[in-house]
Amino acid sequence: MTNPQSLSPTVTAVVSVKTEVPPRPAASPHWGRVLVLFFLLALFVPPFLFGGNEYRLNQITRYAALALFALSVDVIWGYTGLLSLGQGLYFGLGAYAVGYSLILQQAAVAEDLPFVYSPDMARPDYMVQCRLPEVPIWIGQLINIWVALGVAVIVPTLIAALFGYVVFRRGIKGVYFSLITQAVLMAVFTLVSNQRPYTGGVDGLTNLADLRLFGFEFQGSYYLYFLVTGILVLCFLACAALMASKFGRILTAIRDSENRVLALGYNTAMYKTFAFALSAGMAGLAGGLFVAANSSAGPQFFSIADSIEVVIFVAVGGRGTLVGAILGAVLVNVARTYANEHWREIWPILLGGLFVVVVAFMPDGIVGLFRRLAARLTGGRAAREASA
Amino acid sequence: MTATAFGEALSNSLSLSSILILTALGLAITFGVMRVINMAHGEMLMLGAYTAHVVTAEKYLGLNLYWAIPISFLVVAFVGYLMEVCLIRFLYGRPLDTLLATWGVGLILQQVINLTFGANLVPMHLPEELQGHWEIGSLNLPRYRVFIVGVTALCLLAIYLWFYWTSFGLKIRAVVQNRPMASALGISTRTVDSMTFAFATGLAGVAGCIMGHLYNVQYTMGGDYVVEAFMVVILGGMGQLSGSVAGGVVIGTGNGFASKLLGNEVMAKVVILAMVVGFLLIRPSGLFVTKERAYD
Repeated sequence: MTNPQSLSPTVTAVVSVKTEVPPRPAASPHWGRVLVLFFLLALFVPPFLFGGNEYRLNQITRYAALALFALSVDVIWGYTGLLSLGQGLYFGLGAYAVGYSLILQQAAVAEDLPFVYSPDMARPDYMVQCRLPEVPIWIGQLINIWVALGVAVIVPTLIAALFGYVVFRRGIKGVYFSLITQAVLMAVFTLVSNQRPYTGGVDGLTNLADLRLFGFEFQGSYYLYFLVTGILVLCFLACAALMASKFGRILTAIRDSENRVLALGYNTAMYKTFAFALSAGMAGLAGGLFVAANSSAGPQFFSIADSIEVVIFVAVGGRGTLVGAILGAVLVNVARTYANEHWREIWPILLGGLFVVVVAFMPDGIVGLFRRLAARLTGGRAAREASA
Repeated sequence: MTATAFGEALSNSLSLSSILILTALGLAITFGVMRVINMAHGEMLMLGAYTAHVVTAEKYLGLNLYWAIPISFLVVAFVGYLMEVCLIRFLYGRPLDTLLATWGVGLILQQVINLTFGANLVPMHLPEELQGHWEIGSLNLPRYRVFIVGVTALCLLAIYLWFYWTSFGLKIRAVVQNRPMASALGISTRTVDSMTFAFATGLAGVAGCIMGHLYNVQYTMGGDYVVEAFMVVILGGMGQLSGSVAGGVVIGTGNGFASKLLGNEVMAKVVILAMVVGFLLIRPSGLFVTKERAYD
């Protein structure tokens, strides 16, 4: 039957459903916000638990930097649905930028020279060993920590913007995107490990100076932790605002069905490029801060294993939730530290099991479990929304 | 480049290509045909190499390489079968999740092997007739490399026959083309899936066995090969095995000649990898395109 009248009731029904149900806000937004606020405040508590234990302070500062790294992966994977296995590239670039700065400062301190670039500036040990006659200009400029921090954020952002622009304009997505980013990472890893005169080779940059900003020493105290955590919280808030905006909605829409977003007339390639560049900038910053706490930078930052591990931080916490990224990073790292201190051999097996269990049986992570629990407690409407 | 250098580069390229094809063949089936990203493929190579070690070492079985190849195939195929039945089958249609989950499986396998056999390198011995060189003019052809080319050719032939001359191959092609229709016609898609996966991982076992006699055997060796193997499959174009063969030849030849020209194997790898990525950015579908009507 091709009688148009027989079709019209269904059509109007569909249309009316779409217009009559406006998008509802998430279940009990106030409680959610209060919980997130408590969570963010709780991030500032750990240093007080460890008193003056410098080793532990450095450890938790590294966790905070890794949490920022996880946040960057969450933006690109959890929200936009693009699994980048090459985030380590941006983390590593940021790490080496700050690492170069601190190692040059250390060398300059040893020879009592000022922290400025000059052709005859003090060379770090590995350059001397490799008989590099002078510090290359592109490394030497980084001795100024502000230049280094700027480079740590801007260079990854630019690279990701360019790479993303090409990749997304060519319509590369899904698995291809993951594998190509991984291949790029592997090329860079091999390059960095192989270019010892410039990068310190497999040993990387060791024996770094302490981080000083505004003539203020950050290392060995609460201050570095508060600096890193402060930046983490700022990035969290910025991401939360972004994801709650129309822009963030479009990113999640791209994740859920890119073709529909395309059909609605959005230039999805540009949205994806922006998200990728943003996440790369955050990863670079995370790398720089990590090195400040870690006091060394090595090519393992560019390793494939490390980039995939960050993804599991996000998956454990809950992909597509910012709290989940931080929670996952902290929990997995605490578990790793505990395992390494007690039964070192077992940790890779536990980590592997975590990958399998989380991906196969707990795709929403801890935050997802928590939401389901909350939904069951409050029942009714909340349960419907949580399952939707 | 002199004629001898050219000949050396050519023979190197040939064996490099065969190794790449051999390592990528299993992936070409699991990734290209079944759309499962098996990141544990490298660990399957590693398992194959360790199986070969157990088979050939005096301490254990003390047999030779010719026994090791089929035994590696069977052992690793069984591991692959278990993996498919216990994990992969829950993840069909979620390729990114298979990637993460199989990476986890890879980590577990690595550590289990590390704890069982220790972290030390395991040296392996070739049978006498495969040691040494054949001399053709001024060119030295290592016998084992020629053997590798032969094994690769045999594997390719076996796959071709299996896919196009057996009823099981017909079933695989039917399931790949149209799963619900194949199922409606009485093909057990579960059996097809698990057997195909097992066969593909078994090929990785053969590759591992071959490579164990050529390179260092270490529990972490898998990671070195898996990324390159994926590049071979993507470069060739998904969904057809001949594409992966071409991809392997291109990358292998590229590596062979680049390392001769640059005089540095590692940098050659970087350059070739960068060129492959560059090529894929220009032509994402790879060398050979299978026409598909899929929407998403």
